[in-house]
Amino acid sequence: MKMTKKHLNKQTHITDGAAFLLPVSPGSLTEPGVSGSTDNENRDYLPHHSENDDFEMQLWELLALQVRRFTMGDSSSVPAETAKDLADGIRYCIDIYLKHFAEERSMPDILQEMNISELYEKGRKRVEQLTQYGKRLMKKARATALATGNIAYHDTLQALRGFFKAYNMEFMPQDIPCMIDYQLFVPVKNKEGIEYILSYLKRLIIENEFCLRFDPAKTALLMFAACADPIQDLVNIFQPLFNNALALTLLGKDALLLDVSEEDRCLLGKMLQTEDVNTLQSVIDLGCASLCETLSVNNPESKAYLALAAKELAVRLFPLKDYRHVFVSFGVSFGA
Amino acid sequence: MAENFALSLANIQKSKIIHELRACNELTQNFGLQLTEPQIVAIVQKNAEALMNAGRMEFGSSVIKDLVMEFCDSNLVEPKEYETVLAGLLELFYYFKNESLEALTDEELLKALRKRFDEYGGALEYLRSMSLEALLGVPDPMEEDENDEETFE
Repeated sequence: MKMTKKHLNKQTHITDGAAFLLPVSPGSLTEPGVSGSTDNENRDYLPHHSENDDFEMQLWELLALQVRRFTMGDSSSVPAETAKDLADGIRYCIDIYLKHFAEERSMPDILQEMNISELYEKGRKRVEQLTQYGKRLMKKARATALATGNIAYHDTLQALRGFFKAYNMEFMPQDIPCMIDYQLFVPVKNKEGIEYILSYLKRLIIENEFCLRFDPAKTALLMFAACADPIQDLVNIFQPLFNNALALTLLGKDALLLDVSEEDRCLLGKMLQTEDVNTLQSVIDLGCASLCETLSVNNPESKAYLALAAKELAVRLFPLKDYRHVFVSFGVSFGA
Repeated sequence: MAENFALSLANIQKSKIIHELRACNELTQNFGLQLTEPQIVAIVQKNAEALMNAGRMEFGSSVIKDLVMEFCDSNLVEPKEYETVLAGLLELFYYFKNESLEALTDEELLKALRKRFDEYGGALEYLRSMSLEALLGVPDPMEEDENDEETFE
Protein backbone atom coordinates (compact mmCIF):
# COMPACT_ATOMS: atom_id res chain seq x y z
CA MET A 1 0.00 0.00 0.00
CA LYS A 2 1.87 2.99 -1.22
CA MET A 3 1.39 6.39 0.36
CA THR A 4 1.13 8.84 -2.49
CA LYS A 5 1.56 12.59 -2.43
CA LYS A 6 -2.17 13.01 -2.92
CA HIS A 7 -2.81 10.91 0.15
CA LEU A 8 -0.58 13.21 2.12
CA ASN A 9 -2.53 16.17 0.79
CA LYS A 10 -5.73 14.54 1.87
CA GLN A 11 -4.25 13.95 5.27
CA THR A 12 -3.33 17.61 5.59
CA HIS A 13 -6.82 18.56 4.63
CA ILE A 14 -8.48 16.27 7.14
CA THR A 15 -6.26 17.67 9.86
CA ASP A 16 -7.26 21.16 8.72
CA GLY A 17 -10.79 20.11 9.44
CA ALA A 18 -9.89 19.51 13.06
CA ALA A 19 -9.26 23.24 13.43
CA PHE A 20 -12.98 23.52 14.14
CA LEU A 21 -11.98 22.76 17.71
CA LEU A 22 -10.58 26.27 18.03
CA PRO A 23 -13.40 28.37 19.52
CA VAL A 24 -13.70 26.92 22.98
CA SER A 25 -10.07 26.50 23.80
CA PRO A 26 -7.99 28.64 21.47
CA GLY A 27 -4.44 27.57 20.92
CA SER A 28 -4.61 24.49 23.10
CA LEU A 29 -5.85 21.94 20.60
CA THR A 30 -4.42 22.49 17.18
CA GLU A 31 -0.89 21.63 16.26
CA PRO A 32 1.39 24.41 15.07
CA GLY A 33 1.14 25.01 11.35
CA VAL A 34 -1.90 22.84 10.88
CA SER A 35 -4.40 25.39 9.70
CA GLY A 36 -2.21 27.68 7.63
CA SER A 37 -0.88 25.56 4.81
CA THR A 38 0.77 27.53 2.05
CA ASP A 39 1.30 24.47 -0.12
CA ASN A 40 -0.03 25.34 -3.57
CA GLU A 41 -0.75 21.73 -4.41
CA ASN A 42 -2.88 21.49 -1.29
CA ARG A 43 -4.71 24.65 -2.23
CA ASP A 44 -5.75 23.14 -5.57
CA TYR A 45 -6.89 20.08 -3.78
CA LEU A 46 -9.05 21.73 -1.14
CA PRO A 47 -12.79 21.92 -1.68
CA HIS A 48 -14.31 25.34 -2.36
CA HIS A 49 -15.27 27.51 0.58
CA SER A 50 -18.87 26.31 0.89
CA GLU A 51 -17.85 22.67 0.43
CA ASN A 52 -15.25 23.10 3.13
CA ASP A 53 -17.77 24.65 5.51
CA ASP A 54 -20.11 21.74 4.92
CA PHE A 55 -17.24 19.30 5.42
CA GLU A 56 -16.31 20.90 8.74
CA MET A 57 -19.92 21.08 9.89
CA GLN A 58 -20.24 17.35 9.25
CA LEU A 59 -17.01 16.75 11.18
CA TRP A 60 -18.36 18.81 14.08
CA GLU A 61 -21.62 16.84 14.16
CA LEU A 62 -19.74 13.55 14.00
CA LEU A 63 -17.49 14.67 16.85
CA ALA A 64 -20.52 15.64 18.93
CA LEU A 65 -21.92 12.16 18.32
CA GLN A 66 -18.63 10.52 19.30
CA VAL A 67 -18.53 12.60 22.50
CA ARG A 68 -22.05 11.43 23.36
CA ARG A 69 -21.04 7.82 22.68
CA PHE A 70 -17.83 8.23 24.68
CA THR A 71 -19.58 9.67 27.73
CA MET A 72 -22.56 7.38 27.19
CA GLY A 73 -24.72 10.50 27.28
CA ASP A 74 -23.76 11.14 30.90
CA SER A 75 -21.79 14.31 30.30
CA SER A 76 -22.41 17.35 28.14
CA SER A 77 -18.74 18.36 28.20
CA VAL A 78 -15.36 16.65 28.04
CA PRO A 79 -11.79 17.81 28.71
CA ALA A 80 -10.37 19.54 25.65
CA GLU A 81 -7.66 16.86 25.46
CA THR A 82 -10.33 14.15 25.19
CA ALA A 83 -12.15 16.11 22.50
CA LYS A 84 -8.89 16.38 20.56
CA ASP A 85 -8.25 12.64 20.92
CA LEU A 86 -11.76 11.85 19.69
CA ALA A 87 -11.31 14.24 16.75
CA ASP A 88 -7.98 12.54 15.98
CA GLY A 89 -9.78 9.18 16.06
CA ILE A 90 -12.24 10.40 13.43
CA ARG A 91 -9.42 11.81 11.31
CA TYR A 92 -7.52 8.52 11.62
CA CYS A 93 -10.44 6.39 10.40
CA ILE A 94 -11.15 8.72 7.47
CA ASP A 95 -7.48 8.72 6.50
CA ILE A 96 -7.43 4.92 6.64
CA TYR A 97 -10.38 4.77 4.26
CA LEU A 98 -8.79 7.28 1.89
CA LYS A 99 -5.45 5.49 1.91
CA HIS A 100 -6.86 2.04 1.38
CA PHE A 101 -9.77 2.61 -0.96
CA ALA A 102 -9.92 6.07 -2.43
CA GLU A 103 -6.70 5.76 -4.46
CA GLU A 104 -6.12 8.93 -6.42
CA ARG A 105 -9.59 10.46 -6.12
CA SER A 106 -9.94 13.90 -4.65
CA MET A 107 -11.87 14.70 -1.50
CA PRO A 108 -14.56 16.80 -3.24
CA ASP A 109 -15.23 13.87 -5.60
CA ILE A 110 -15.55 11.45 -2.71
CA LEU A 111 -17.78 13.83 -0.74
CA GLN A 112 -20.21 13.92 -3.64
CA GLU A 113 -20.82 10.23 -3.13
CA MET A 114 -20.81 9.93 0.65
CA ASN A 115 -20.86 12.12 3.71
CA ILE A 116 -18.25 12.31 6.44
CA SER A 117 -20.11 9.88 8.71
CA GLU A 118 -20.14 7.26 5.95
CA LEU A 119 -16.44 7.85 5.26
CA TYR A 120 -15.71 7.50 8.96
CA GLU A 121 -17.81 4.35 9.27
CA LYS A 122 -16.06 2.71 6.31
CA GLY A 123 -12.69 3.67 7.79
CA ARG A 124 -13.70 2.27 11.17
CA LYS A 125 -14.66 -1.03 9.55
CA ARG A 126 -11.30 -1.08 7.81
CA VAL A 127 -9.61 -0.52 11.18
CA GLU A 128 -11.52 -3.55 12.48
CA GLN A 129 -10.35 -5.66 9.54
CA LEU A 130 -6.76 -4.51 10.03
CA THR A 131 -7.00 -5.37 13.72
CA GLN A 132 -8.12 -8.91 12.85
CA TYR A 133 -5.23 -9.16 10.43
CA GLY A 134 -2.94 -7.86 13.18
CA LYS A 135 -4.05 -10.71 15.45
CA ARG A 136 -3.03 -13.20 12.79
CA LEU A 137 0.34 -11.47 12.43
CA MET A 138 0.72 -11.60 16.21
CA LYS A 139 0.30 -15.38 16.12
CA LYS A 140 2.96 -15.58 13.44
CA ALA A 141 5.30 -13.33 15.42
CA ARG A 142 4.95 -15.66 18.40
CA ALA A 143 5.40 -18.75 16.21
CA THR A 144 8.63 -17.32 14.79
CA ALA A 145 9.86 -15.88 18.12
CA LEU A 146 13.58 -16.30 18.71
CA ALA A 147 15.02 -18.43 21.49
CA THR A 148 16.74 -15.49 23.11
CA GLY A 149 16.93 -14.37 26.70
CA ASN A 150 16.74 -10.71 25.73
CA ILE A 151 14.30 -9.11 28.14
CA ALA A 152 13.16 -6.25 25.89
CA TYR A 153 12.40 -8.73 23.11
CA HIS A 154 10.15 -10.89 25.30
CA ASP A 155 8.56 -7.94 27.10
CA THR A 156 7.67 -6.42 23.76
CA LEU A 157 6.10 -9.63 22.47
CA GLN A 158 4.04 -9.73 25.66
CA ALA A 159 3.10 -6.05 25.33
CA LEU A 160 2.05 -6.56 21.71
CA ARG A 161 -0.40 -9.25 22.83
CA GLY A 162 -1.71 -6.75 25.34
CA PHE A 163 -2.19 -4.21 22.56
CA PHE A 164 -5.05 -6.21 21.09
CA LYS A 165 -6.85 -6.23 24.45
CA ALA A 166 -6.29 -2.55 25.18
CA TYR A 167 -6.77 -1.14 21.66
CA ASN A 168 -9.68 1.29 21.62
CA MET A 169 -10.65 1.17 17.96
CA GLU A 170 -14.03 2.75 18.67
CA PHE A 171 -12.79 6.05 20.06
CA MET A 172 -9.01 6.35 19.87
CA PRO A 173 -7.81 4.10 17.04
CA GLN A 174 -4.76 6.31 16.54
CA ASP A 175 -3.32 5.30 19.93
CA ILE A 176 -0.80 2.54 20.58
CA PRO A 177 -1.70 1.38 24.08
CA CYS A 178 1.39 -0.71 24.80
CA MET A 179 5.09 -0.25 25.52
CA ILE A 180 7.36 -1.31 22.69
CA ASP A 181 10.91 -1.47 24.01
CA TYR A 182 12.47 -3.73 21.41
CA GLN A 183 13.83 -1.67 18.55
CA LEU A 184 13.76 -2.96 14.99
CA PHE A 185 16.79 -2.50 12.76
CA VAL A 186 14.69 -0.27 10.49
CA PRO A 187 12.18 1.48 12.77
CA VAL A 188 8.58 2.12 11.72
CA LYS A 189 8.06 5.82 11.15
CA ASN A 190 5.07 8.13 10.61
CA LYS A 191 2.42 5.58 11.49
CA GLU A 192 -0.11 5.46 14.29
CA GLY A 193 -2.50 2.98 15.85
CA ILE A 194 -3.07 -0.37 14.19
CA GLU A 195 -1.09 0.69 11.11
CA TYR A 196 2.02 1.11 13.27
CA ILE A 197 1.45 -2.27 14.93
CA LEU A 198 0.98 -4.01 11.57
CA SER A 199 4.18 -2.55 10.19
CA TYR A 200 6.06 -3.36 13.38
CA LEU A 201 4.82 -6.96 13.41
CA LYS A 202 5.58 -7.48 9.71
CA ARG A 203 9.12 -6.22 10.18
CA LEU A 204 9.59 -8.21 13.37
CA ILE A 205 8.48 -11.41 11.60
CA ILE A 206 10.87 -10.75 8.73
CA GLU A 207 13.70 -10.17 11.21
CA ASN A 208 12.70 -13.33 13.14
CA GLU A 209 12.59 -15.47 10.00
CA PHE A 210 15.96 -14.13 8.91
CA CYS A 211 17.54 -14.88 12.29
CA LEU A 212 16.01 -18.38 12.39
CA ARG A 213 18.09 -19.30 9.34
CA PHE A 214 21.22 -19.30 11.51
CA ASP A 215 22.51 -21.78 14.07
CA PRO A 216 21.25 -20.58 17.51
CA ALA A 217 24.63 -21.34 19.11
CA LYS A 218 26.41 -19.13 16.57
CA THR A 219 23.76 -16.44 17.03
CA ALA A 220 24.37 -16.49 20.79
CA LEU A 221 28.15 -16.21 20.29
CA LEU A 222 27.66 -13.29 17.96
CA MET A 223 25.31 -11.51 20.36
CA PHE A 224 27.85 -11.82 23.19
CA ALA A 225 30.46 -10.28 20.91
CA ALA A 226 28.14 -7.55 19.62
CA CYS A 227 26.93 -6.10 22.90
CA ALA A 228 27.88 -5.82 26.55
CA ASP A 229 24.85 -7.66 27.90
CA PRO A 230 22.66 -9.51 25.37
CA ILE A 231 20.05 -10.16 28.07
CA GLN A 232 19.59 -6.71 29.57
CA ASP A 233 20.64 -4.39 26.73
CA LEU A 234 18.13 -2.79 24.38
CA VAL A 235 19.74 -4.36 21.31
CA ASN A 236 18.38 -5.46 17.98
CA ILE A 237 19.17 -9.15 17.39
CA PHE A 238 18.79 -9.03 13.63
CA GLN A 239 21.38 -6.28 13.16
CA PRO A 240 24.65 -8.15 13.98
CA LEU A 241 23.44 -11.22 12.10
CA PHE A 242 22.53 -9.24 9.02
CA ASN A 243 25.76 -7.22 9.13
CA ASN A 244 28.04 -10.22 9.49
CA ALA A 245 26.13 -12.42 7.04
CA LEU A 246 26.29 -9.63 4.48
CA ALA A 247 30.00 -9.08 5.15
CA LEU A 248 30.76 -12.77 4.66
CA THR A 249 28.71 -12.78 1.45
CA LEU A 250 30.71 -9.81 0.14
CA LEU A 251 33.89 -11.76 0.90
CA GLY A 252 32.57 -14.82 -0.92
CA LYS A 253 32.38 -16.81 2.31
CA ASP A 254 29.62 -18.87 3.90
CA ALA A 255 27.13 -16.38 5.40
CA LEU A 256 25.88 -18.99 7.85
CA LEU A 257 29.27 -19.02 9.65
CA LEU A 258 28.49 -15.55 11.04
CA ASP A 259 32.02 -14.99 12.35
CA VAL A 260 34.01 -12.12 10.80
CA SER A 261 37.73 -12.28 11.54
CA GLU A 262 40.21 -9.41 11.83
CA GLU A 263 41.57 -10.36 8.43
CA ASP A 264 38.06 -10.29 6.99
CA ARG A 265 37.56 -6.79 8.38
CA CYS A 266 40.79 -5.61 6.69
CA LEU A 267 39.55 -6.93 3.38
CA LEU A 268 36.14 -5.35 3.95
CA GLY A 269 37.84 -2.04 4.69
CA LYS A 270 39.60 -2.14 1.35
CA MET A 271 36.41 -3.12 -0.39
CA LEU A 272 34.01 -0.67 1.26
CA GLN A 273 35.93 2.44 2.21
CA THR A 274 35.22 4.98 -0.46
CA GLU A 275 34.67 8.70 -0.87
CA ASP A 276 31.39 8.11 -2.63
CA VAL A 277 28.39 6.93 -0.62
CA ASN A 278 26.62 5.80 -3.79
CA THR A 279 29.46 3.45 -4.66
CA LEU A 280 29.30 2.00 -1.17
CA GLN A 281 25.54 1.69 -1.46
CA SER A 282 25.83 -0.18 -4.76
CA VAL A 283 28.28 -2.70 -3.29
CA ILE A 284 26.11 -3.26 -0.21
CA ASP A 285 22.99 -3.62 -2.38
CA LEU A 286 24.70 -6.24 -4.51
CA GLY A 287 25.80 -8.08 -1.40
CA CYS A 288 22.28 -7.96 -0.02
CA ALA A 289 20.79 -9.37 -3.24
CA SER A 290 23.31 -12.17 -3.17
CA LEU A 291 22.61 -12.85 0.52
CA CYS A 292 18.88 -13.14 -0.22
CA GLU A 293 19.67 -15.70 -2.90
CA THR A 294 22.00 -17.68 -0.64
CA LEU A 295 19.50 -17.78 2.21
CA SER A 296 16.53 -18.35 -0.13
CA VAL A 297 14.79 -15.17 0.95
CA ASN A 298 12.19 -15.09 -1.80
CA ASN A 299 9.24 -13.25 -0.27
CA PRO A 300 9.06 -9.79 -1.91
CA GLU A 301 8.23 -8.05 1.39
CA SER A 302 11.20 -9.71 3.10
CA LYS A 303 13.49 -8.81 0.22
CA ALA A 304 12.28 -5.21 0.32
CA TYR A 305 12.92 -5.02 4.06
CA LEU A 306 16.42 -6.47 3.70
CA ALA A 307 17.08 -3.91 0.97
CA LEU A 308 16.02 -1.20 3.43
CA ALA A 309 18.31 -2.70 6.04
CA ALA A 310 21.14 -2.64 3.49
CA LYS A 311 20.56 1.07 2.90
CA GLU A 312 20.60 1.67 6.65
CA LEU A 313 23.86 -0.29 6.93
CA ALA A 314 25.50 1.69 4.13
CA VAL A 315 24.58 4.98 5.83
CA ARG A 316 26.09 3.75 9.10
CA LEU A 317 29.24 2.38 7.45
CA PHE A 318 30.07 5.38 5.29
CA PRO A 319 31.64 7.67 7.92
CA LEU A 320 33.48 4.82 9.71
CA LYS A 321 37.17 4.01 9.40
CA ASP A 322 37.02 1.11 11.82
CA TYR A 323 34.46 -1.66 11.32
CA ARG A 324 35.06 -3.51 14.62
CA HIS A 325 31.67 -2.58 16.04
CA VAL A 326 29.79 -3.28 12.83
CA PHE A 327 31.29 -6.58 11.67
CA VAL A 328 32.15 -8.31 14.92
CA SER A 329 34.24 -11.39 15.74
CA PHE A 330 33.23 -14.25 17.99
CA GLY A 331 34.97 -14.19 21.34
CA VAL A 332 35.87 -10.53 21.15
CA SER A 333 33.79 -8.61 23.67
CA PHE A 334 31.96 -5.44 22.81
CA GLY A 335 34.18 -2.41 23.27
CA ALA A 336 37.43 -4.38 23.01
CA MET B 1 -10.84 30.31 6.83
CA ALA B 2 -10.79 27.54 9.45
CA GLU B 3 -10.82 30.06 12.28
CA ASN B 4 -13.77 31.99 10.78
CA PHE B 5 -15.64 28.77 10.41
CA ALA B 6 -14.77 27.78 13.97
CA LEU B 7 -16.16 31.08 15.19
CA SER B 8 -19.39 30.55 13.30
CA LEU B 9 -19.70 27.10 14.85
CA ALA B 10 -19.20 28.65 18.28
CA ASN B 11 -21.96 31.12 17.43
CA ILE B 12 -24.27 28.30 16.38
CA GLN B 13 -23.62 26.63 19.74
CA LYS B 14 -24.30 29.93 21.56
CA SER B 15 -27.56 30.47 19.66
CA LYS B 16 -28.65 26.98 20.66
CA ILE B 17 -28.02 27.68 24.35
CA ILE B 18 -29.76 31.08 24.15
CA HIS B 19 -32.78 29.34 22.69
CA GLU B 20 -32.71 26.73 25.47
CA LEU B 21 -32.47 29.42 28.19
CA ARG B 22 -35.40 31.33 26.72
CA ALA B 23 -37.41 28.12 26.91
CA CYS B 24 -36.27 27.64 30.52
CA ASN B 25 -37.64 31.10 31.41
CA GLU B 26 -41.15 29.86 30.73
CA LEU B 27 -40.77 27.25 33.45
CA THR B 28 -38.65 29.19 35.97
CA GLN B 29 -41.06 32.13 36.04
CA ASN B 30 -43.30 29.87 38.14
CA PHE B 31 -40.57 30.15 40.79
CA GLY B 32 -40.15 33.86 40.31
CA LEU B 33 -36.92 33.47 38.39
CA GLN B 34 -36.30 34.88 34.94
CA LEU B 35 -33.35 35.96 32.90
CA THR B 36 -33.53 39.02 30.70
CA GLU B 37 -32.14 38.85 27.16
CA PRO B 38 -28.89 40.62 28.15
CA GLN B 39 -28.58 38.29 31.14
CA ILE B 40 -29.05 35.25 28.89
CA VAL B 41 -26.30 36.50 26.57
CA ALA B 42 -24.07 37.19 29.58
CA ILE B 43 -24.64 33.69 31.01
CA VAL B 44 -23.84 32.06 27.68
CA GLN B 45 -20.63 34.10 27.50
CA LYS B 46 -19.73 33.13 31.08
CA ASN B 47 -20.36 29.47 30.25
CA ALA B 48 -17.91 29.73 27.34
CA GLU B 49 -15.36 31.39 29.65
CA ALA B 50 -15.90 28.82 32.41
CA LEU B 51 -15.40 26.00 29.89
CA MET B 52 -12.23 27.60 28.58
CA ASN B 53 -10.86 28.19 32.09
CA ALA B 54 -11.56 24.56 32.97
CA GLY B 55 -10.04 23.31 29.69
CA ARG B 56 -13.27 21.64 28.67
CA MET B 57 -15.44 21.54 25.57
CA GLU B 58 -19.18 21.25 25.31
CA PHE B 59 -21.04 19.50 22.49
CA GLY B 60 -24.67 19.49 21.56
CA SER B 61 -26.89 20.54 24.43
CA SER B 62 -25.40 22.58 27.26
CA VAL B 63 -25.36 21.78 30.96
CA ILE B 64 -26.84 25.26 31.67
CA LYS B 65 -30.36 24.04 31.03
CA ASP B 66 -29.92 21.14 33.48
CA LEU B 67 -28.36 23.50 36.00
CA VAL B 68 -31.35 25.84 35.76
CA MET B 69 -33.76 22.92 36.14
CA GLU B 70 -31.87 21.60 39.19
CA PHE B 71 -31.79 24.93 41.07
CA CYS B 72 -34.90 26.81 39.96
CA ASP B 73 -37.08 25.54 42.81
CA SER B 74 -34.57 26.54 45.49
CA ASN B 75 -35.89 29.33 47.69
CA LEU B 76 -32.24 30.26 48.35
CA VAL B 77 -31.92 31.76 44.87
CA GLU B 78 -33.02 35.38 44.96
CA PRO B 79 -34.37 36.72 41.65
CA LYS B 80 -31.92 39.65 41.70
CA GLU B 81 -28.98 37.24 42.21
CA TYR B 82 -30.18 34.61 39.76
CA GLU B 83 -27.64 35.46 37.05
CA THR B 84 -24.72 35.65 39.52
CA VAL B 85 -25.69 32.36 41.14
CA LEU B 86 -25.95 30.58 37.79
CA ALA B 87 -22.56 31.92 36.70
CA GLY B 88 -20.97 30.85 40.00
CA LEU B 89 -22.53 27.40 39.81
CA LEU B 90 -21.30 26.94 36.26
CA GLU B 91 -17.72 27.61 37.36
CA LEU B 92 -18.11 25.20 40.27
CA PHE B 93 -19.67 22.58 38.04
CA TYR B 94 -16.74 22.49 35.61
CA TYR B 95 -14.22 22.68 38.44
CA PHE B 96 -15.68 19.64 40.21
CA LYS B 97 -16.19 17.84 36.91
CA ASN B 98 -12.43 18.04 36.33
CA GLU B 99 -11.71 17.14 39.96
CA SER B 100 -13.79 13.99 39.63
CA LEU B 101 -11.69 12.89 36.63
CA GLU B 102 -14.88 12.32 34.67
CA ALA B 103 -16.11 9.77 37.22
CA LEU B 104 -19.27 11.77 37.99
CA THR B 105 -22.11 12.16 35.53
CA ASP B 106 -23.60 15.62 35.01
CA GLU B 107 -26.68 14.54 36.94
CA GLU B 108 -24.74 13.19 39.94
CA LEU B 109 -22.65 16.34 40.17
CA LEU B 110 -25.66 18.67 39.88
CA LYS B 111 -27.46 16.77 42.64
CA ALA B 112 -24.38 16.96 44.90
CA LEU B 113 -24.06 20.70 44.25
CA ARG B 114 -27.72 21.26 45.01
CA LYS B 115 -27.48 19.30 48.26
CA ARG B 116 -24.53 21.34 49.57
CA PHE B 117 -25.99 24.59 48.21
CA ASP B 118 -29.09 24.00 50.33
CA GLU B 119 -27.06 22.94 53.37
CA TYR B 120 -24.90 26.07 53.26
CA GLY B 121 -27.80 28.44 52.75
CA GLY B 122 -26.93 29.14 49.14
CA ALA B 123 -23.49 30.54 50.00
CA LEU B 124 -21.35 29.83 46.95
CA GLU B 125 -18.14 30.85 48.76
CA TYR B 126 -18.50 27.76 51.01
CA LEU B 127 -18.87 25.52 48.01
CA ARG B 128 -15.82 27.15 46.44
CA SER B 129 -13.68 26.21 49.44
CA MET B 130 -14.83 22.58 49.39
CA SER B 131 -12.93 19.57 48.18
CA LEU B 132 -14.66 17.10 45.90
CA GLU B 133 -14.76 14.59 48.75
CA ALA B 134 -16.45 17.12 51.01
CA LEU B 135 -18.94 17.95 48.29
CA LEU B 136 -19.82 14.27 47.87
CA GLY B 137 -19.65 13.55 51.61
CA VAL B 138 -17.02 10.84 51.25
CA PRO B 139 -13.73 10.50 53.20
CA ASP B 140 -10.72 12.28 51.73
CA PRO B 141 -8.27 9.53 50.65
CA MET B 142 -5.28 11.73 51.54
CA GLU B 143 -6.52 12.22 55.09
CA GLU B 144 -7.27 8.50 55.34
CA ASP B 145 -3.66 7.72 54.37
CA GLU B 146 -2.38 10.11 57.03
CA ASN B 147 -4.60 8.49 59.67
CA ASP B 148 -3.42 5.05 58.61
CA GLU B 149 0.19 6.12 59.09
CA GLU B 150 -0.55 7.49 62.54
CA THR B 151 -2.25 4.24 63.56
CA PHE B 152 0.67 2.29 62.20
CA GLU B 153 3.16 4.31 64.26
